[in-house]
Amino acid sequence: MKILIIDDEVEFATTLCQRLKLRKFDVSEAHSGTEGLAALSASVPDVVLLDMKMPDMSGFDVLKVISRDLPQTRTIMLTGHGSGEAGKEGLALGAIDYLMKPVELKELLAKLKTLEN
Amino acid sequence: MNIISKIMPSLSGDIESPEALERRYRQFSSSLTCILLALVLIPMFIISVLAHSQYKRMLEEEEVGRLLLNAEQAENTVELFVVKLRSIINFAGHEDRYDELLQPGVLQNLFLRLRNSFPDYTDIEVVGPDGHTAAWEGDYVSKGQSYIGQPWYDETLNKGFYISNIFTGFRGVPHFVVAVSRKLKGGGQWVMRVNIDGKTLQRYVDAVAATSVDDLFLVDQQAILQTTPKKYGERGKPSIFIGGGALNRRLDAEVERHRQAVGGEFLIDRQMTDGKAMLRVIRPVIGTPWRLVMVKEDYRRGAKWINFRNHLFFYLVSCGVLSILIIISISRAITEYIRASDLKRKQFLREAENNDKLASIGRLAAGVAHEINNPLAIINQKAGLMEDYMEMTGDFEYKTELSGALSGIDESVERCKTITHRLLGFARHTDVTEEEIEINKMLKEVTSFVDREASYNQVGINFHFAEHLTPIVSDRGQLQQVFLNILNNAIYAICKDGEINISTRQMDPGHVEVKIADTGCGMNKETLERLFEPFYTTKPTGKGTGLGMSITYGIINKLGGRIKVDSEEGKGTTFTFLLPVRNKEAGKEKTDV
Repeated sequence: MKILIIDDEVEFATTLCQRLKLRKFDVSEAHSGTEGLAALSASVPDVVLLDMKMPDMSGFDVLKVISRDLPQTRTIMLTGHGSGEAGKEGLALGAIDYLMKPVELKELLAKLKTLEN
Repeated sequence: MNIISKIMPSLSGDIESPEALERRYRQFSSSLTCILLALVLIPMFIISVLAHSQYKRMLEEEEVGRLLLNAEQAENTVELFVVKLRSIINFAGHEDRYDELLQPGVLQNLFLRLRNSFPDYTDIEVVGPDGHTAAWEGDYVSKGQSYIGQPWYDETLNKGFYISNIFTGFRGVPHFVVAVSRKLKGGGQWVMRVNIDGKTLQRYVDAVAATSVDDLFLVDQQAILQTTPKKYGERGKPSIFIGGGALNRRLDAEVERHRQAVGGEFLIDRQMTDGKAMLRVIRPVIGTPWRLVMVKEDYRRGAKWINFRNHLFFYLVSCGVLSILIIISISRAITEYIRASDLKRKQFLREAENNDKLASIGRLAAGVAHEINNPLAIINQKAGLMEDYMEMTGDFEYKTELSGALSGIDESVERCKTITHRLLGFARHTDVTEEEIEINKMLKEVTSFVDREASYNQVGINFHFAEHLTPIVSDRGQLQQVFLNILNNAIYAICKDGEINISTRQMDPGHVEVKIADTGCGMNKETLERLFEPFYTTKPTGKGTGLGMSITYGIINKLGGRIKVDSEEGKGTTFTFLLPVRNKEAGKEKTDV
């Protein structure tokens, strides 16, 4: 399964990337919305882990592009707002699920497993 | 308006204590009462005084006018009687009849004829030029009596006519004398004297005594009564109506007219007689030595005046009392109204201030929580990565200790996560899922969550539910969170051995009240003031986040309800929730707290 992490928190993205790699996932990372879109156009992932709040463009903007251009790619939103509200907004825009930061890896793996099946 | 603003109690400035404010309200109420009373009672009183004096003056004028008229009529009647009497005697004692009258039988015939017309002629007498009785007829006269030197005889000779006062004389019967003098052809004068019974005059006076006067009688120059008054005095005795008094000056013109018509002896005045105010008029009867006295009880004793005064007094007093009662209740109602609005305004201000404070704290907290969430996520992932590596690595020294330390990091991250999520939850407007809820049933359910803890702590939970409560439409989950939080706090406050009383009631068709009262330790003033502030807690560090009450506050506000807290240190705390049956706020655009 090919995964792309788009998050402006470099340490977070890198660490999560490492941990997923340890679990044999094909993971790449991008540290801004623009970088994310470039990575998306270079290679289409199966799953995108997308942060909502980024300095250059919001996760929702990226999500809109994914929903429009990459119907095969499924997006899981990452929210630091501590509530499901923003996540639900993401669902409305085409994301298939959302997770609240700090993310529990177990939870993420469970969701990925569901997607894989 | 200036006066009103001066007496209005003000909330601003120097009102430092409830007692001082209460004093101001009382002062306002009494000032308002006084002003309104003055506005109503003073004009009422002035109008009454004016009506009183106008009516009094009218009655006085009417009374004096009528009395003057009556007295004039009465005097005319008596005067007419005397004129008539004089003309008869003048006719009977014609100048050249002296010799004829001395003839036997002539005087007797004349006397009989006179008596036929006037039965009160008691006797008739012819007095010769020598001053001795020459002939007589009647009941009492004796022959040969000499009148020389007697005042009446001299006056008759001098003036040609004489009329006496009423006197009893030796005959013991009241009578008066009328005499005329005549010249003899050969020189000298003879006199015809007639004695008339006093009853004649009495009859005349009685006949003219009008019903509108209290008494009418004749007195002589020395104020000796000539006729018998109906009420005041006895004939032959001095009248009690002597001396002069004063009369209302306004009547001077009318009185002057009478005085000029009558002469100097005219008198009209008011005086106190037998303790009664009397109006009296005295006027001389022309051609006689008599004066006519007419008295009337003062108008102030008359039915007209007494009725008027009683009515005036009755209306004045009843209107006054009614006005006082109405004004007092109006003043009280206005004061109560102002007091209630002041209280409402104060509450509103306090609430607005509180809301404002909570909103600022909420925004700050949300910002902080969001910023913390990201590094927290990094810590979490880093610790996770370390755990991953440890699992992949074989045993090494301190592996167990390192694993323990990483678990500690995980736990702390979890704790921080709870806090940041709750903080964000408090600050954020979360969706309200509405459904119909039976409050009593829901409270029972929520209570079941804390049953075990309550029984461990010997805390009894009692329900006092109102039957037939209107189900409310609200967010079940959030309400459960609220009540659970309050119940947990109550159990914590009681600690051991106490009671929690949960009651519900229908406040009005649109609202349901839930009351949760505990017998715990209560709160001091500071805690009560800061109760809804985030992070404010009285629990030991690590035991509470200090967010429960602020979240509760946020939820209840969001659901369109109100919270009221009453607490007394050492006695317990009561939370009162007023929940709308339907949340009018739902669906409206809201900003984050």
